Amino acid sequence: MRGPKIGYPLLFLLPTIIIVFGVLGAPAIYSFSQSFYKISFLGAETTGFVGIENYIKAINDPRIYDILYNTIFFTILSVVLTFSLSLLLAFLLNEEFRGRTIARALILLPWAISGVGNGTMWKTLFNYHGVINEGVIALGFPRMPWLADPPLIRFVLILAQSYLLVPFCTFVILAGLQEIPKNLIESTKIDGASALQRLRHLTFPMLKPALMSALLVSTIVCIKVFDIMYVITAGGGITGGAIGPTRVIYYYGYEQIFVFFRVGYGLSIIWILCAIVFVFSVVYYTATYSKEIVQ
Amino acid sequence: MNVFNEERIKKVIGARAIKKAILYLLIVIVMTMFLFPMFWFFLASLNSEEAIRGGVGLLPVNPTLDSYAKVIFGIPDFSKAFINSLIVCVCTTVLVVPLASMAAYAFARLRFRYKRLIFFILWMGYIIPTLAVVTPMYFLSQWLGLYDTVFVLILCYSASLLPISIWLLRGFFLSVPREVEEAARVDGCSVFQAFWKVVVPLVKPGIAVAAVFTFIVSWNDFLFAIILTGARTKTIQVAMAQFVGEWGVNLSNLITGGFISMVPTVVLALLFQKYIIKGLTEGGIKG
Repeated sequence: MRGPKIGYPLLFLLPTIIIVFGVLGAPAIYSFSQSFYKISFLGAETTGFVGIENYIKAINDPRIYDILYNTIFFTILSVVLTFSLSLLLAFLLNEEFRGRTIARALILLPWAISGVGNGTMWKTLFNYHGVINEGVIALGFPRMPWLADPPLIRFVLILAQSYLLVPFCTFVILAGLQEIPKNLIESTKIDGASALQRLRHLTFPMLKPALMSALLVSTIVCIKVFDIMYVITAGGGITGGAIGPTRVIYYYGYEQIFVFFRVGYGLSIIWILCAIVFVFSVVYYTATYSKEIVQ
Repeated sequence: MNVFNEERIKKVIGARAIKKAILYLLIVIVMTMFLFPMFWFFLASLNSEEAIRGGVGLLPVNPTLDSYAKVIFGIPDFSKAFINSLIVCVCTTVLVVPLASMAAYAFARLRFRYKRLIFFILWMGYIIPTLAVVTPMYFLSQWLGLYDTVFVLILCYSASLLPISIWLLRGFFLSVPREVEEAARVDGCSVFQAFWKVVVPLVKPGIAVAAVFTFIVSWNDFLFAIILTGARTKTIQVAMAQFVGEWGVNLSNLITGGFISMVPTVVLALLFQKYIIKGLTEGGIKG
């Protein structure tokens, strides 16, 4: 098509731009500006512009380092667990076997369930009188307080988060595996390369883009974890709050804004998180989308 | 043919059979472990309330659908939240799909300035953490008197799902040969007519995926819903999260309710799995 008038792209894009700007863009800009204000709904306190005071307060908040540590701990372990499982599943699903289509469809299922549903599911699985503890007893151990003991509940949370992420990562890695030309694999076999050599010099380098995108997306998702924490640790009640060792940064921001109504301070924490997510996202964007947009 | 060769062939075939057997065994073990939580959740939902008072075992005791009847008809809060979710998600899908198709077509086919910049800005809308957006939306909706209405929720979901739907659909539009539109233009169609009457019918599968994605992701959202809805319009996820606290002792309702809340999205995912997998791998979408 040559020389389309400028009116057309505008006509096609305008409704989208209006909605996305109106509902996401403008509120985001507003919330960023509000992070420089002291806003409180608890009568006695003053409201007004305070500059970067909220950010300084966040940096000096002794709790924030525990919370950052919790978030990083949770993210790294979830990503490691997700990746080990996804790699195993992707390599298995890449083999030819009967029922492969069904297996793939079934692997997709956890992708479709919500964080709340998933949290509920793991919470009942690890209930004190639940099926996991029955198994523990059958193996001759005493019942474990999965949902009350900090290291154990961390483990349950990581398991629950990974469960949601595995389908996505598996299919991204699988797609990467399928892009490796079959004849290349055959020819290295004929040339006498061992399986390990093949993995190191052929499979891994060709799989790298897929691994990178799975890694970045799952890292971002884990940093922003909220609903699983809400259901498994807070017990659904707002006042319950996520218990100490499992409180993560996103949850902390939510709590500051909607439980303690320290809106300005909560927003400054959210924007610190945004900055972290943004860095990861731009790396991801430039790695995957950028080249394709302009043909 | 000498005997030596035959033996060798047998050996090779034997080794292959063993390899195959190990593969199948591994697949069965890994798949069983992976699907166990969901399958067990379903089995547990078949228990009656009395059966799991002392704890939930591996298999249901006297399987019955009693708890389903109880949750669906006996807990008005639950069925109301389910219907609220249906209304919100269907409206979001109906709004997102046509708008995303138009925008995706523009990105795939039309030439205009700042294409890359506009796409990048839209994509920022996708990555921006929900809390940064929903906090002002909460105060704004209170101020406008729109708090706890489906309207606000539909708008928020539409805005956050438009960028990713556009990305998904764009790929489908790119796969339509340009000649098809050119022929339509030669026959006297306007750009919009060529888009609507000629190109859109050719990308029906893409439109189906975008619709399914939009529905599933908005159904599963929790953060927008917990903040923007109150007693009147709370969605199924909010209702479930509250039940986890309230029903702490009533495991039966919790399990069955949780399972019912997963059914719509799981069924959709199964029906459209082929396309969803394509969307996941090409669009890099994780909910």
